[in-house]
Amino acid sequence: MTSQTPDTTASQACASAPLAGQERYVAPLDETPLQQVDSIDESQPASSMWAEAWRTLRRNPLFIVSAVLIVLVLLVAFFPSLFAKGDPNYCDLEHSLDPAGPGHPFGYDLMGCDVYTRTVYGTRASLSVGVLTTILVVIVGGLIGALAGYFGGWVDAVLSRITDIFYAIPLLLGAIVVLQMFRTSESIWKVVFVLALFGWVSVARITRGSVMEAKNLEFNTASEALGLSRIKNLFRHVIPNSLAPVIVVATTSLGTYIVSEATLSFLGIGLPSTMVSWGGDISAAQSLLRVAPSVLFWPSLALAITVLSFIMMGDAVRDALDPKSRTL
Amino acid sequence: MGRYLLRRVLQMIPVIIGTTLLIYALVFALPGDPVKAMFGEKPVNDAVAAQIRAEYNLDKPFIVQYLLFLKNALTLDFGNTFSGRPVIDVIGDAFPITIRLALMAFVFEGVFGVIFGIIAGLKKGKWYDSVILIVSLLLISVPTFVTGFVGQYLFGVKWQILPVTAGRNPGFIDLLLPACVLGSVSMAYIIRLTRTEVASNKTADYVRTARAKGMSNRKVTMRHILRNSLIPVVTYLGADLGSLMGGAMITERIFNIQGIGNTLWQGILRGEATLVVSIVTLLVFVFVVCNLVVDLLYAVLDPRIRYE
Amino acid sequence: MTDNENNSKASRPLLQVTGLQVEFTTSAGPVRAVRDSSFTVYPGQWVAIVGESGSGKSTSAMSVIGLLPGTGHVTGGSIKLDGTEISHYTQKQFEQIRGKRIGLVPQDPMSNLNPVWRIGTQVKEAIVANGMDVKREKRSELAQKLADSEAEGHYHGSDDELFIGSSQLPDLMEESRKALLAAGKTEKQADEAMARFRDDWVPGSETRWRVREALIAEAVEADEAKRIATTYVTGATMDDRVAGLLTEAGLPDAAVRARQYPHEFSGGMRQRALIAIGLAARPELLIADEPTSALDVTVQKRILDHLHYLTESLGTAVLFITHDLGLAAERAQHIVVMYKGQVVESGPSLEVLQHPQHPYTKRLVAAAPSLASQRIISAKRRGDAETADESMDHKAASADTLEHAKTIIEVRDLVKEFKMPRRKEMFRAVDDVSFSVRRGTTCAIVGESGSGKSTVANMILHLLEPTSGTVLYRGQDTQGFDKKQLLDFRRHVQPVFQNPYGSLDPMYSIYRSIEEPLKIHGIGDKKSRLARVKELLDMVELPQSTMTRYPNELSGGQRQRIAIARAMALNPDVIVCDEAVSALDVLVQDQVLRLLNDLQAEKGLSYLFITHDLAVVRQIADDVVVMQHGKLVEHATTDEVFNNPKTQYTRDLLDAIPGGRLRLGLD
Repeated sequence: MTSQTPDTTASQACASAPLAGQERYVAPLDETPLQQVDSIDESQPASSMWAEAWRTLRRNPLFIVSAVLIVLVLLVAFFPSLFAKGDPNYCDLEHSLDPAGPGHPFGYDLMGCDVYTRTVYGTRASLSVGVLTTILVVIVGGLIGALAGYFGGWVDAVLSRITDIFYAIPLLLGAIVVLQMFRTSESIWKVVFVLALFGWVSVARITRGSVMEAKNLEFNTASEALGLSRIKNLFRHVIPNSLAPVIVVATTSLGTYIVSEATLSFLGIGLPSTMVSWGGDISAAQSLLRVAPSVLFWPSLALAITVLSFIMMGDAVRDALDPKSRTL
Repeated sequence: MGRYLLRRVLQMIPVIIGTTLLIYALVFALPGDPVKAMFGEKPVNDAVAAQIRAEYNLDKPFIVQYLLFLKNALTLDFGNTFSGRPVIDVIGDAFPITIRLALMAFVFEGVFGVIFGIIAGLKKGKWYDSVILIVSLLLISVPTFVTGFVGQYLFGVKWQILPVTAGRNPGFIDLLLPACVLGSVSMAYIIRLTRTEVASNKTADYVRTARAKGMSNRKVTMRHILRNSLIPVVTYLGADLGSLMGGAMITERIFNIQGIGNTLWQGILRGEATLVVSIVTLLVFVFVVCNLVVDLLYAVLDPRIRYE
Repeated sequence: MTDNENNSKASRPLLQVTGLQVEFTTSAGPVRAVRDSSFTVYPGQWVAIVGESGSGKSTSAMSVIGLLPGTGHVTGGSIKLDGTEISHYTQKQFEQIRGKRIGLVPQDPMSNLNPVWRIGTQVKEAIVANGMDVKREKRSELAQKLADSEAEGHYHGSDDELFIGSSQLPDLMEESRKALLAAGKTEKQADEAMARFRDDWVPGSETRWRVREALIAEAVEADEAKRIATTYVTGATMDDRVAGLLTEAGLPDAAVRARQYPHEFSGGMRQRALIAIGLAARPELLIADEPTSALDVTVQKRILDHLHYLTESLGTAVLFITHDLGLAAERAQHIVVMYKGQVVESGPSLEVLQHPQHPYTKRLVAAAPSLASQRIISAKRRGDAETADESMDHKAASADTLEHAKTIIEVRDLVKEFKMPRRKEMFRAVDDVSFSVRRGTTCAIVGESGSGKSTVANMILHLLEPTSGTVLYRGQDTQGFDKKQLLDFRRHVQPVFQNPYGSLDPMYSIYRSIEEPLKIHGIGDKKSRLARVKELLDMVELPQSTMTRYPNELSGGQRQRIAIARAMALNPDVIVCDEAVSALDVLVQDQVLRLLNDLQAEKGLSYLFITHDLAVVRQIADDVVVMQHGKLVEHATTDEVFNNPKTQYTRDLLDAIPGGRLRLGLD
């Protein structure tokens, strides 16, 4: 099979009269006024990528709902006394399992404590664990991931193997193994440290991928050719450009850390039992399921709403920053 | 392909050594005396403590302890529980139940997750897409133990259509509710993953090429959209089987199932460090093996991987 | 095929689009992508739609097969296929047309094949979906008549269209050889004929009557030829047909290749597979949407030549979408020029090209690099007679002034080897390359992908360590530079990269981007840097207000101008442009090239210009280095390379410039 070269096509067409519908046509100029080649529309205000993302966010109902909820949760966590007048640890066995009444909208638990007050005061513990763990995880995971992704080679090989090892231990299992050693400790830091110890892996993996992608963009080579040192380049160009997915994963993870904390408290190895927390209260209420389901219901609802708002926020931020990335 | 397999298996070895070392170190080398942890608040007789230390090689240097543990683990000798039963027997009793539970949860989340995810992805923006999405978000936000209690209350107590707890040797019906609870969170993730994959594949260039061939919508959906979308879903599912076993602890506790998770829980309560380490090691091993299988599955499903 | 025949048979248009309007629904309301566009395609004809990105050319074509992306929909006008209105068709109705009547060869070969299915399977889908008979050829009416006349009345109905099957091929060959010998051929003659047959008789592609004709042409008796053809050509299997289609599209070893996956194919091979898919159900109209724009020029030429041959022999009409006016004129009889969603001019190719009437078309013709025949004259030279003389000097002197004083960059015996994954031997990306860049001139390195041209550029920029050889800057070996010297070198040798979307940090405002080099080298204070940035923006002809903006707000051409401004910030001597204009639309490309040229004349800059596009070279370069497979093939002045190419490879490259053969005699 051979190809032939169509040298003569154009001249052929020229020779014959045009067919119907293929006559010479020139649009009147006023219909398509010619614009200057590649001019900048100066009427539009300047906006950075973040401003662009913010504009997308503001229009997303998911964001508005979750933002309102998160602000509310933060307020409750910082100023619980504004929302509940009583003392969460004040309990009166006379009120044991009393139903809701005026001033006590959620009723009383087995010990006769006010469920509403305890739910309000439980916010701080859950949120603290979530926020502190996330901060720790982003610092540790982000640093390890960024170094591995940016420097590659043996640095990447070593860090990635370490990551693999931690990745192979499911968060809950690892946490249980460590926390059973510290059952008597009274601090929330043990939970934070343990969750961070097994949680940094996901952030490290995301950061690594994101940094590897960002470092291959041409502007890095351009900066290097300008004489910028590698390490400065990492902080000035690569990290800012790989933040978006890390922010998304951090927001979503914050929610899952709160769930994990509650689960650990439920197992009795999380937050100390003297601390007012949703997980602890839910755990205490489990035996009352048949008698007084509402005692279990309210702290669970508070927990679910808090977690939900962070996960929704993560989704909204992802849509704004990184529309192509995957939802998981 | 063979080369790929070999490489993956070889890569697995350092990971397993690393994880077991890590777990062992966490239990036995962290500040905090394991012997004290064993006895909890009770005062410990020095002689008894010394005896226990000797029995568990705690008096030897850490690395020797670990190597001895590893050597014993390879021969499936995990030592005895406090009551004198070999740990391996305890595991042998409990593990099949957990496997059954995990497999049921696996089928549940796979079937429903994929179906709902496909529906939502194909009809993105329709009202039922929103409903599916909201339900999946809720399932992710509510901790498993709450889901478990709610399920127990509704199906077991209120409507009484399913048993509240499972007995010694649970059957299919006994495990049905626990399996759904156990699989619920993963199902939600699978829905979200499938939905995103389907929605993004729908607009892929090769789907347009397929349509341009004149293929029917049904065929394009099956052969191009779904086939490609399910690759990451299948791999997610595979990896999840490993974590389902690890995550079964909560569910087994709520429904009082005598599986590996409950045994682990009992071990923690009684402070039986050897039992805890053995079970966690086993679960981690299962998890790593599942991930290996997933990698191989990936290579089978996606021809691009095979040649890397 | 002559045009008279064409006219008489094809009096009725195959595709008639009139007043087409296409809108996209966005959150900000409907956006009109195509307004009032009309064009007509006759059977067997090539019609080209030409326009820059965003002109609505692809959108117009896609609405013809109902494959508009996303929220796009036809809001007005009519689309008639062979007289039937199809613009209101449902997807179900379109399924009946797609493949069978209108085929598609899409733009990007990398993303248009499903990575998880074998190539053969994907071709097979096109056959099965349209219920094609794999045993025999389906020809359009036009092609059938043609075949009839070509066969001089020997045409015997549809059984004559049966394909050769691979299982019967050995027998067919054997019998044919016997027949040849019986017809009095010598052994040698018979072997020669058999070699031709082996090439031509592709199972699943070559038909019975063609076998018969071939035998008769080799002096086998007509009856015997008929007997052999009838006995041994009895139809192909699906696998044969798939391989046959792929072979037709120019894929070698098709039967083996069909079992491979897309990632095992190069871009050119994938494009061939897509052509096979597009033509699998023998459509009357093929929409070719920039089918080769992602490929190297020589590959592009080969594929288009082949597509031309195929569509001609099958009688398929082609709606050819391209941004390249030269290419359009070379391939199509009729050209439709689109701008901002509207047809601004249409007519016979040569006429439109020679006498463009709409100002936009005029602009396009003037800017098209493939049609330009000489170097851009800088603004300064244009205005100034004395310097015009100097430029003459410059040209005249070029041959003999390769002396040291005038050389700013010299490359000696440069070699770069890369380690191949899981292989022992090293891959030589750059193999013993030596050349030099004269001060104040432009040296272009031309080559196709994999030629090592960018590797050379990166070594010159000191971003990559050469395996051996030296790079001299002002006579000094750059390898020996210490930290301070290197910083100084970086100040004087600046790059501008290919991808306008990747070369600026999206997080940095334009001001910060341009200021960055000044900051790195600690030049000036805040105030003086601001003044310098403003000055630089003036230099690249962008308004000063641009500096508060971010890269995401700018077009590719604007970003590239910012990249040039940044490169200019430190008053460099040398700028290395690595495919700096390749991703830009023709007009924007022309604008950037002129800017570069003016800057050179003003500041006495030297350019090293890396490109795959010889047409651009002619516009900008004084000297040319041609590279192939890491080796330097030719190094001479631009005029010499164009007028008197020394090697076959350079000739091939020149030959592949689209529209390069058109002699227009422009106004």
